[in-house]
Amino acid sequence: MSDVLLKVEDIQTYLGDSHIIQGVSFEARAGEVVALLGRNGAGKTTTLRSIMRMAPPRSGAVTFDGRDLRGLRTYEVARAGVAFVQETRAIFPSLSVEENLRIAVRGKSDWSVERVFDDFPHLAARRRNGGAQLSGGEQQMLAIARALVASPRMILLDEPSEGLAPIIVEQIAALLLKLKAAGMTMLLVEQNFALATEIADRAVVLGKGRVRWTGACEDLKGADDVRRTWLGV
Amino acid sequence: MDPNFLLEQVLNSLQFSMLLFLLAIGLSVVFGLMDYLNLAHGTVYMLAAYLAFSVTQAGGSFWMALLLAPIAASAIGLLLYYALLKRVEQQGHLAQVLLTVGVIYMGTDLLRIVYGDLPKGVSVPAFLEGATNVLGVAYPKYRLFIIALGLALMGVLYVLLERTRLGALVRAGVDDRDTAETLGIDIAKVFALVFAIGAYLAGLGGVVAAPVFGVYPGMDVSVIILVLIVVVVGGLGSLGGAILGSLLIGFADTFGKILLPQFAMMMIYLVMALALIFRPSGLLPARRFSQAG
Ligand SMILES: Nc1ncnc2c1ncn2[C@@H]1O[C@H](COP(=O)(O)OP(=O)(O)OP(=O)(O)O)[C@@H](O)[C@H]1O
Ligand SMILES: [Mg+2]
Repeated sequence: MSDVLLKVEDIQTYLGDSHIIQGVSFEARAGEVVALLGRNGAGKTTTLRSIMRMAPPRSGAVTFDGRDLRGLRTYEVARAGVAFVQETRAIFPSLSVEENLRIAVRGKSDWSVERVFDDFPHLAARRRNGGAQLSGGEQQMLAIARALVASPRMILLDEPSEGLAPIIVEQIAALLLKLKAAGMTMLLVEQNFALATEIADRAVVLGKGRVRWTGACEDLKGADDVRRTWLGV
Repeated sequence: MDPNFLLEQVLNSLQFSMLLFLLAIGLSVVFGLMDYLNLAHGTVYMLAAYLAFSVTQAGGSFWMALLLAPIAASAIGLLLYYALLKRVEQQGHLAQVLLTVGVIYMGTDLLRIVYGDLPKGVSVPAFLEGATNVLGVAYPKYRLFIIALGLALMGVLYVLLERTRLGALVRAGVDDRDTAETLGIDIAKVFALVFAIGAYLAGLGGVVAAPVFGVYPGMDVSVIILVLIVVVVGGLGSLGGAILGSLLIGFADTFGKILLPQFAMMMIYLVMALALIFRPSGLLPARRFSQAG
């Protein structure tokens, strides 16, 4: 549990002329689940997009499994083993459910397309349907499944519970706990504090583009001032 | 209208629609994937027509020209893209239009230097010479061949886009290029393949058009304007849009010339205006383009 898998060092990211990420550093060890928390606009999504090099940092370094990601294209970061489940879920509407999965298959994953359909009967029932015809919960399941079939070594998840009914959120929590038990490293962005602390080992709290607090989730529950100031919970 | 004359004009329309389609599909999908408006697509069409002329001049058959010229034109088009056109990939449509219009002029002048100003002809293979009887109308065999080839290619492209892995990658890239990259898909590579196929089809269009319309400097400009209208009317980034747009403009062009000989383009602009009023993003655009704007 001690090998560092992802290391983010003092990254500075601009969107247009706005200096959004102002020196963020943290790391995730292999098998660890790290929650990335913060209010709306704190810079959580931009941090994930910086790691994927969709919003390449102007300075600072991101290292994955000892490999410097600077200079890589987004598809190369993905092939290095980082999967990204976006806030929008980003299901391809012109592709069927099955095609959405098949184009993401890479390497020898524990999760074959068939296993996905066995484990997610809702998706199996819609495998030939267009991606545009799914409910929010089904889209989220498909987005996570699409990450899994790519044999990732780490998954970045951007607010997987956002906008979903409580019963669906429970299913997603159960799935993430199952992945954690299987040893998957995850970086989990969440506004749902209870959900995040239930799943994650450690938390990184972002505020206005900087890291404001880092520590064990247990300790964050007791740190009332941090929660009030930077999370509003 | 005399029914035989009508049938003849319907066949003429179909034949012209197929040529428009061969150019429109490449222009449309290249735009869908990379937001690149490549007007030099017409130059590839013209280049292939001239290459076909050279092949037949050198003693090669029409079939050899049909085999070789589109491949050569496609390779040259791809080279041109990476050597020059790619530089304005991120610079927006105005820069792309200006650069590719420049390429149109340069291409025309270069071909003029090599081949001269006079129109050239390419003759059709012996067994496609003359006419055959279609429901009582004597119709040129070669034009029927164009219709058959166009229909066959529409079928092939449908299977390629809707039923293969490459097709799924293309549709994913048109939907959302960034997300496709997050799944490990090298969209630049998919694009190179799409560009090459699109240029190949434009080249095929040039070879096939040569015996009907002749080969002359500027043959690209007249057709690329119609192809742009096809893509606007049909909708960007989709096979269905390219097919429907080609048919509408092919028929509007042919029947416009018959019904309103003095205002031949009128019918085309009427179709375009109606389409834009009722469907501003075209009749069957790819999903990403289906909202206005
Ligand atoms: N294209 C852009 N140009 C300039 N600023 C942007 C752009 N996109 C987002 N921002 C700003 O960057 C900041 C961080 O945005 P980001 O999406 O990373 O926040 P977040 O923590 O994910 O928020 P949320 O919880 O709402 O998803 C916000 O203040 C936002 O307004
Ligand atoms: Mg966000």
